[in-house]
Amino acid sequence: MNRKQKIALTLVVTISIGLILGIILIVMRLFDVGIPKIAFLFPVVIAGSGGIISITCFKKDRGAITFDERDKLIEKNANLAGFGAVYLYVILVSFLPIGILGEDASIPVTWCPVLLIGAGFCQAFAQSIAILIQYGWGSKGEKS
Amino acid sequence: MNRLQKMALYNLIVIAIVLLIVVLVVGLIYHYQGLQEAREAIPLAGLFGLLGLSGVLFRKKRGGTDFDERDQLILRKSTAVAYSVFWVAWIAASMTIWAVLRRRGTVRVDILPIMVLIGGLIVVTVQSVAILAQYGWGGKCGKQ
Repeated sequence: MNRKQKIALTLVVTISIGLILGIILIVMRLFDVGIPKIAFLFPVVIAGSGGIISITCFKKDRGAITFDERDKLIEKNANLAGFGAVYLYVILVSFLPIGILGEDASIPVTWCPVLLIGAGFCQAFAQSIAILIQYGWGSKGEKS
Repeated sequence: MNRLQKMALYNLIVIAIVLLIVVLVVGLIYHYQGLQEAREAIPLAGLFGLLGLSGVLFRKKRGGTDFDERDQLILRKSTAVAYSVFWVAWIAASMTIWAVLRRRGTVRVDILPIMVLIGGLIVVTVQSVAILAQYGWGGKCGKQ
């Protein structure tokens, strides 16, 4: 596995765990288990920890060439996949409140910045999945 | 001009004409009848759906190659630029809404689909401009 793949895998794992935890917390809140609002920061921190782990653990290699045209193309395609996923996410989160609450409803204004955090994770997740798919999910000659 | 350039030019013309029509009609109704009646003219923005005809009007030619690696690179770059601008615009819009309406605490749900519509227009406009700019605004480099 090369550096990009390791980062992608870390992000996929941490964001997936954060997402699952978030869904569990939302379900628990729906059933009035008595979860404080601050608990919702926990999945965000876990999902975001992938970025910190990537920066601290997977440093750039010195010397040898580790990034060629193929890697560049894979990165570009992954970026586009991330952008596409964010666009779909934006459409979904924009129309979902109307579908659930009705046309004349209102939502808390704090949702706007919160949606941005979701979009950031969506971009990172889709980009990482695209990188892993293009490299073939495993190590096929890509060494760091 | 090749197919990509024609589609980009068509998109820009449609966006410009529809924007002009919507602004004129809404402006005139607002001037003579007030805001409530003017808001009812906003569905005229549905005319942006004409953008979807570009794929039908400028079909791929059977036989000969009219889309090579260079065209693919131009399309990919334009899409990346368009989505990057969309990201910035969406973050700016979300944070502006939050900053302006923070004291009121809530925002109407129908503002989110409007943001998506404007975001979509930004993507198409920027992508079209980027395509035309990369080909050199004329037919000199994009001959079929």
